[in-house]
Amino acid sequence: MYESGNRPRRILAYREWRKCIRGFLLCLCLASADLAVAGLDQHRVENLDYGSALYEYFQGNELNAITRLMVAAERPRSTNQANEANLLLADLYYGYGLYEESRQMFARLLTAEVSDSIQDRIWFNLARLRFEQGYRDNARELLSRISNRLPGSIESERKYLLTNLYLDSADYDKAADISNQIDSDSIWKKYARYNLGAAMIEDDRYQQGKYILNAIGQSTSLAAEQVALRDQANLSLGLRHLRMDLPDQALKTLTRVRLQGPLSNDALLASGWAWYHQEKFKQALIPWRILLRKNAVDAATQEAILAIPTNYAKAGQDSLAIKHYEIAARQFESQLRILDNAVDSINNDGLIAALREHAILFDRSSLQRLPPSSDVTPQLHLLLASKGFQREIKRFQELLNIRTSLRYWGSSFPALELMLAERRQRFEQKLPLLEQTTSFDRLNLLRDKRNQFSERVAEIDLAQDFQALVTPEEADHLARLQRIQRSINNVSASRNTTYQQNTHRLLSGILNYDLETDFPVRFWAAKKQSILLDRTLVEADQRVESLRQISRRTALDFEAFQARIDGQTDRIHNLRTQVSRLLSRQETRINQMAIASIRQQQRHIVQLRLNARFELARLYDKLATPQ
Amino acid sequence: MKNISLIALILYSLLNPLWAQESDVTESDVSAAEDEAAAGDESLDSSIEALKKEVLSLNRDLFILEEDLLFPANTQFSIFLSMNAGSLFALDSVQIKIDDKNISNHLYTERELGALKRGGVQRLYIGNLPSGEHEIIAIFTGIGPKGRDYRRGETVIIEKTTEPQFVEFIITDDSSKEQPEFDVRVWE
Repeated sequence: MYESGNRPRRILAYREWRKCIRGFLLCLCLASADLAVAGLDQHRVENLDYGSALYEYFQGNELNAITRLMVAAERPRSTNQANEANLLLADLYYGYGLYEESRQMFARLLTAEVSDSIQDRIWFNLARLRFEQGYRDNARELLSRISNRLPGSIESERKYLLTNLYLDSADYDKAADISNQIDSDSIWKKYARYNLGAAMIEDDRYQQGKYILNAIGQSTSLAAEQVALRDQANLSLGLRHLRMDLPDQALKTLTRVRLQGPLSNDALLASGWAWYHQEKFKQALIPWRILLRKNAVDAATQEAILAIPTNYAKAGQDSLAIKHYEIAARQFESQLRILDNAVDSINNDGLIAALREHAILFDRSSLQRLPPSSDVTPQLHLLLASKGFQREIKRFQELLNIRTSLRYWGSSFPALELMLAERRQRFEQKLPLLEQTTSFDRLNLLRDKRNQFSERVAEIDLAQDFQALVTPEEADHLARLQRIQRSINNVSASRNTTYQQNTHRLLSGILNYDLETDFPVRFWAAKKQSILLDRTLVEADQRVESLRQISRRTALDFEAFQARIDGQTDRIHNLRTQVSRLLSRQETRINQMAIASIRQQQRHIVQLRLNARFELARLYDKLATPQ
Repeated sequence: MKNISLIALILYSLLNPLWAQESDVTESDVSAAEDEAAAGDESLDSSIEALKKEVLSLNRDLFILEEDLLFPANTQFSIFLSMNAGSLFALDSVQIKIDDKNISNHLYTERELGALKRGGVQRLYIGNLPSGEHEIIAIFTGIGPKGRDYRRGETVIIEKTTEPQFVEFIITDDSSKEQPEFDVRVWE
């Protein structure tokens, strides 16, 4: 009776463990999606837009990173590393769930003139994409096209992918060979070796798998990722030993699992079963009681609650078994109530509030390391580790980021509109003044004067009129000489003016001689002035024309800006409405998934409670039966 | 024997409502509900995807519009910061001055520093500058070699033209001197 009653529970427990392991491996796949770009660490950036996008991406701001790359593609400031930038954009599209855009971008890159190293990275990205979509043959074919060593950790990831592909076809020798080639310092080697060991122990390569998992399980590294992997390796090996009915070996590996780690509950439960298989019932109680003291609501704890009375029954201590079955039944009742409360909390947005807070405080990738803090989190640890739920939470965070982005535009866009309106108003106010400005009239006056001056210079040249180029002082002298001549003429009839006339003639002669001999120089100076005036006029003309063009262009710019602004407010508003609606639907979906998970746990507990009550009835029956 | 049967019957009757509850839902009901949920999920997924595309396009358009309006090409001036290695200097903050006027102060978070160390380039400042000569000063504060407080200024004189102009400050390591180095690059 005991064996038949126990077996279904054991199988159920193993299923849960397998789920744990699957969840863990899937998380590794998620991590691989993130780390593909991280392989570009510390390469020299020669394009500021590309570098700025990397800066945003490395902080987990995918949306900003994509926006920067899209802006750069629209308005390239530099042609440096354009293919790297496009490769990053294609990768980010993929991470953002825009698979078609990502595929198109990769396809465009493949048709472009790209270097061999870029082409290899495109093959790698496409292979990773196809691998994650489940097209293993295609992924293998794409990986085979890579002809050179990939940069940084991407090369290790390539070999990790290849290892998984060989494992997929149970080609353990090739998988072992390629996993050995991975850089020993790379975490990808540890993951590849773990996957290889886990696959081998489940197949007919138990000894080799055991050797590999033992090596990982005895690692002394303190790095968080490696410590988690060590626990995982020990638990996997321990469970395999239990299934092979090797309890002593199971205990050896299970005791290496950390008590404070996330796999401790499963390890404690399995340790109890290992002692139990050795018929050491007292020792079996120790790990189970430790597990119970942790007071967790999870499958391992629930299994342990029932394992304790089973253990007493097996040891022939029926009254103790009855007592503990009764305790178990009460504990299951209590756990069902806790789970009911968790459902109430989820329905009252307890989980969503925790996820929102988490999204504000941490970047998306931290969700894998640090679950959101809420009263329902302990009841959802399996769900939180699942790829499907991780994907939904990622979408939820993306929607929150979109809402933040739209909120920014919603608040800043009116300011941009106002700024444009004010600039336009200022310009329109200045435009009449500009058009009426005397600058235009002055230019016309200047042009008239220049024409007159030019004509006069031509006349002087034609008549060789040297007196036309006298200085004011010389003009004064000439005028005085004319006045003197008139005075001499007036008195010449009554007086002898020979001396005065001679003197006048001499002075006039000297002056005219000077003027005539200096004429070419003076004429050239006048001509030069005329040329300079022409140049100034041309410049002034150009400036006025440029001013007119700027006026026209500014008016057109305002029109263009207005056209770009028109309709954007409605666009933002519609998108904000849309994101609120989708966010609400996404929250409902997350809540439904969480509640479904809890209901599943409740069904499991109900089954266990049924087993407990059945065992109670059996024991009462046994006690009531006369010996 | 009678007692045992009674206990078993009582236990069965206790459990029965639970089974009855579960059996109320038929497989076809479950299947229909799952189909409906799957259709709803698909519609939600495609709606989210369409929204993402639309938001990306909006962000691109408005980002360019904002830049065109606030920082016209003929006066646009930007300052960037990057790190090449940078293991000899733990950056705490950067202060930027243009023509002796303080225009930007930035205090770094772990995440920002991590992004810089991994090869990201930070746009520290974007603004407008008239054509002509300008003095740009960046003052870096942090922890230098041997855990000592470190403060260093870097100056560059630029001739602003009517084209957008970018200045990049680069923090590097001089391993021969075991000291951090601060370079400047003017992008035309």
